Amino acid sequence: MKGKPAARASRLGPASAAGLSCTSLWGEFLVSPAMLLALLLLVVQTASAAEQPIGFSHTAHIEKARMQCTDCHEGATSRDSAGLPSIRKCMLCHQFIATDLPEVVRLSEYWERKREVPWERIYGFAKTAAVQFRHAPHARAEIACSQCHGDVASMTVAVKAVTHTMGSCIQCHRENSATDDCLACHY
Amino acid sequence: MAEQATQQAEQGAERTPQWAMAIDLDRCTGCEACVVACASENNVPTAGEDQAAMGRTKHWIRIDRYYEGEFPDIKVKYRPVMCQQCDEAPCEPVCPVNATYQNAEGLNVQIYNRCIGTRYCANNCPYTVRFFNWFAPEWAEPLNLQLNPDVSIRPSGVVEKCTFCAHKIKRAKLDADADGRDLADGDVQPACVQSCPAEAMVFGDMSDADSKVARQLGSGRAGQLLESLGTKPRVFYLEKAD
Repeated sequence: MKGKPAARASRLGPASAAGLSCTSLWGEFLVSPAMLLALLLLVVQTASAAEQPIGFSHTAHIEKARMQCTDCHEGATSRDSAGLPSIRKCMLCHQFIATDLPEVVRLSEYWERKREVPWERIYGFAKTAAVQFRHAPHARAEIACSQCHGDVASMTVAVKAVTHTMGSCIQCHRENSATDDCLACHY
Repeated sequence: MAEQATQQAEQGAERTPQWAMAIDLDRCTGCEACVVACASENNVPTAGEDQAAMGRTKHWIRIDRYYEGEFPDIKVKYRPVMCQQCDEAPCEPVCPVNATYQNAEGLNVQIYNRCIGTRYCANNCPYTVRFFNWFAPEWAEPLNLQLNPDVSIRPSGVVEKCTFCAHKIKRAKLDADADGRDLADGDVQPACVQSCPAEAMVFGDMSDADSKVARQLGSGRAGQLLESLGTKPRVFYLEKAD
């Protein structure tokens, strides 16, 4: 699990290099440095999946600040969905802590405008999948968060490190002799 | 079955509930509260005025009416009819993709993702309780704002039917699990049972001899709809005692 983000980066490394060498073939008169920069930025953006309004760093909160996943994703152990914290929870600390960091400044801008942060969802099932997932029973079965969400503790902005398919669900259910009745999830 | 249940209880094994419903026809007034409750609980779409005029409404539960006698001395009898959750279900063997099957708890399950819309099941159901979605589901405003997040919206091209409120069964199990207790009689209440003002409907585990539904099944009044077909429904109707 821990190797995954690194593997991602290395996969993207040669690709971006190839992109550069390709463009250089077209000659300097076709590709301006600005375009090259834009291309590079595009690659970097896809690598970090930074479509989030704020570049929230998971690793800073988990590894450095020693917080738990469930400190913010409160429902993970007790409810259907893990949920995202309200900006009020962010500001409990960030009114006082690290107020000068650029991302925290952006957070306080939302706070001053009395708005929630419009986080983009990373995980979830399509409505057409007709899947009903409940976090609580999985937490009771002591399935680690990382089993389905990857090593988020070492990520900055969360990326979709694990792909959820029916195969992966069923495999885990069978290994742990949980139900493999279709009705367990599809209703 | 009761012996089996007590044996299991003595062994301390986790018992698989056998869901069943008993409907007391003496109590049913035909008020259709169950029909309304079912539609809102299970996100059953409305057909619209034009389609309804052509008899194309969709209801997971309906009230059948039977008239006895001549006007003006008419007696009306009502019978709520939903999927009978048959043990020997005629819908199951005709499905080419195994989208409908009976699970360990005796529920006749419909898996929408698997369904390819042959409609064999609906045509083979003697109770006509299965519905094919010819159109994508729609709700007239403001009904579109009250959809139940616990129940999937069925797309067009699949068959749907009463699930015995499988999502409520699941919820009751999870709640019991969270509290660290066993599922008690009466914990699971499908929307129709919950809404019945006359308390004509009872739902529960018929393998538990002490459950309310098991006691009603043993009352000597219980019968099944179209019993002669041998479908062995899990819905029992308590007829008028003679």
